[in-house]
Amino acid sequence: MSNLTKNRFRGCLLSVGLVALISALGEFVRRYVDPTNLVMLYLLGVIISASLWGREPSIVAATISVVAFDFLFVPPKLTLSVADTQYLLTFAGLLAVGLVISELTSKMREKAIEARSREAQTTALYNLSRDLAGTLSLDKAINIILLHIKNILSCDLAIYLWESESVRSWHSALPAPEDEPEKAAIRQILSGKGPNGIKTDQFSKSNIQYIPLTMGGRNIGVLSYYLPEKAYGLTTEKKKLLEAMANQAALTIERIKLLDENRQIELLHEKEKLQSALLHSISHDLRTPLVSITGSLSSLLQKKKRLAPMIRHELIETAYEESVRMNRLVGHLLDMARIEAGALQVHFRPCDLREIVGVALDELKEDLGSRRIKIEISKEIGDVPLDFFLMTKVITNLIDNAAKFSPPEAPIEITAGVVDGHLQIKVKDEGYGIPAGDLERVFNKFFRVERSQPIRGTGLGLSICRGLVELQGGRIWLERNEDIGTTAIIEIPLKE
Amino acid sequence: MKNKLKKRLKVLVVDDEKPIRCFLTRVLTSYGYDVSEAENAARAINLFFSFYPDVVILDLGLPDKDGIEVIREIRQQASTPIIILSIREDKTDKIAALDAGADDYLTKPFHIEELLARLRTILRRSDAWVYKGPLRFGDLSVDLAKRLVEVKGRPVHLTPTEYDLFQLLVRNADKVVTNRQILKEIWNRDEQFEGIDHLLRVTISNLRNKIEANPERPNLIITEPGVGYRLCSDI
Repeated sequence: MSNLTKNRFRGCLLSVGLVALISALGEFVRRYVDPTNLVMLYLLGVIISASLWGREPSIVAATISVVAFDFLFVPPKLTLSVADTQYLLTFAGLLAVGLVISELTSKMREKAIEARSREAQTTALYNLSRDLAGTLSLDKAINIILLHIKNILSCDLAIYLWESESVRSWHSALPAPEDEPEKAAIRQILSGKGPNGIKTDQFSKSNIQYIPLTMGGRNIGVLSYYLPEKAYGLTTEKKKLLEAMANQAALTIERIKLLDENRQIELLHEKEKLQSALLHSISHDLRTPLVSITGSLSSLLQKKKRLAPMIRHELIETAYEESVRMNRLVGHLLDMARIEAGALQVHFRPCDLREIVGVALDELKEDLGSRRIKIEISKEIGDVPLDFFLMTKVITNLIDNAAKFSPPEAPIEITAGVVDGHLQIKVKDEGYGIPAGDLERVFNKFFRVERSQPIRGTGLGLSICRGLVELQGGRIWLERNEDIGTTAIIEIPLKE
Repeated sequence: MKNKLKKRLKVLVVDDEKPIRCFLTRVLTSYGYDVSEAENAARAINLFFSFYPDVVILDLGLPDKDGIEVIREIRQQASTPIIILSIREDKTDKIAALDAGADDYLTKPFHIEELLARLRTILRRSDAWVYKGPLRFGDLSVDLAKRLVEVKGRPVHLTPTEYDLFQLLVRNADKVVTNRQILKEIWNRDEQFEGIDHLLRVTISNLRNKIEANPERPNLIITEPGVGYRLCSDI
């Protein structure tokens, strides 16, 4: 028995009750009014029945009203026989008017119900599309879809999509493992064979129903829902609404997939650009020192001509210096690769910033020579939680840059203090400076400021610094000094 | 002088890269060392017990076994100095090697001068450390017998802990002393002990303030990031 017939049956019973109630009332008022006027009361009952419970119950009400009227109020009472034949006309009138009223009222009622359900459908669809509008992630979108449809159907459901040759599923509840026929059904629909080719019902195991998600005649996914045993299927309206929602879902999924593809393509372009920069770096920056090294060493190997000792020494020095440079580039490339691969682990430990600066300066002592270095580390900085190793790399890179991009006699200033709960470290040089437009771009890999006299570097130092500082939860940027040179600023939040 | 030939010190070079072995053998031979080469862990262990080297130069990345295993196997039987020469710059490798019993650690590529200096230091100390009177490091002089530390002729007052730490570094001059070793020797604690690393940093900082010419750019007590400290005698 479906839900609908159950409702009708209930309506009919209630109508019988209503008529009984009216009859009881009639028994009470009959002393004051003429029996024919009681017909009006019965007609009122028919109207109530029609507007509350619909067509069938009101027909029942009209018919029973005639019988009850005859039985209870028309003499001879408590029999169905009629003494006065004019009452037959009253019966016919009551029945006819009752039926007409029941027809008209129930039509009105149906219209109202239809309008209400249409409104509910529109609202549900509107809510769904509103929630989906800004979603860019597939998972989020599908969760929204599942939630909305679950609200409508009040049952658990799942969505299946192709994801590179395999089927990926999302469930509104903990998924029960799909059994073989179910898997087969899903795959079959996904490969475009249902429901036009084959009836989906044939897959239906117990109460699972499938709705294909189609885009331009193509099945891009499957929505399955599981109706509990007690349910009696869906009303036509709900089915329609479900289809509309499935369409909306398909549209959204396709939109997100396309967006994703676009993003992938953009990423690929970015990657290609970077790869060519990397190739350039390797082929140019790595080869240039190699050229010097092989050149120097091969001249030293020549047997025909003995070189003057001074020249021999110079050649050896060149080869050595260039190999040191090459080593630095390889180190930078490795650091960059580690940062990008996420292979660096950050170990926060309380550190003495003075010690970090000390180690950095020690590492650079040959490049720095006798250059003046001013260090001012605020006394209020005690132990700060940092990764000693990574932070030393950052500071070393920054001091190295400051030295590289300033004349040998220009001093370098390293200061540190606490600003708004942040540890702030500044490395200031009085060097050649950076054009305002390039202050941010110098953090891009392989970016170099164009200078009349190019300064050799790996083009990676600052992007490594940024990577390492961000790994420690901080920020790094450059500022132009008011008079001359550049200041690199690091800010790291101090956690309590 | 002729005697010196007899006393040529023996070095065992363990590295899987032939060019590196060749280059080390050439250089070390020309500096008067007697060199033997091994290309893997098994051969290294074998040679160790037939060649009896005075010092081992060991690469960590060996084809058959991790170099740290080799350190352990050698340490089970001998206290011969071991210098690690590795491409791995990760501090955990350094600490693991030093804690397993290695005496020093150099990251490849390295300056040959650096290796020779470390070799000399290690061999100088390979006999039990004997105090032979006051030591000088630049402007600093230390008389361990009198517990006296002087900078430019002026005595410096060190607290007992500072003095103990300084003495530990002096006895291991030019060698990395790991944080763990320091904590064990000076405070008899391990690294897990709450606040102990802070105490160590403060002590080092105070020590530097008292004996370094420029405490912000120390050149006497050198920090080995994440590993420990080293007293640099060559200033």
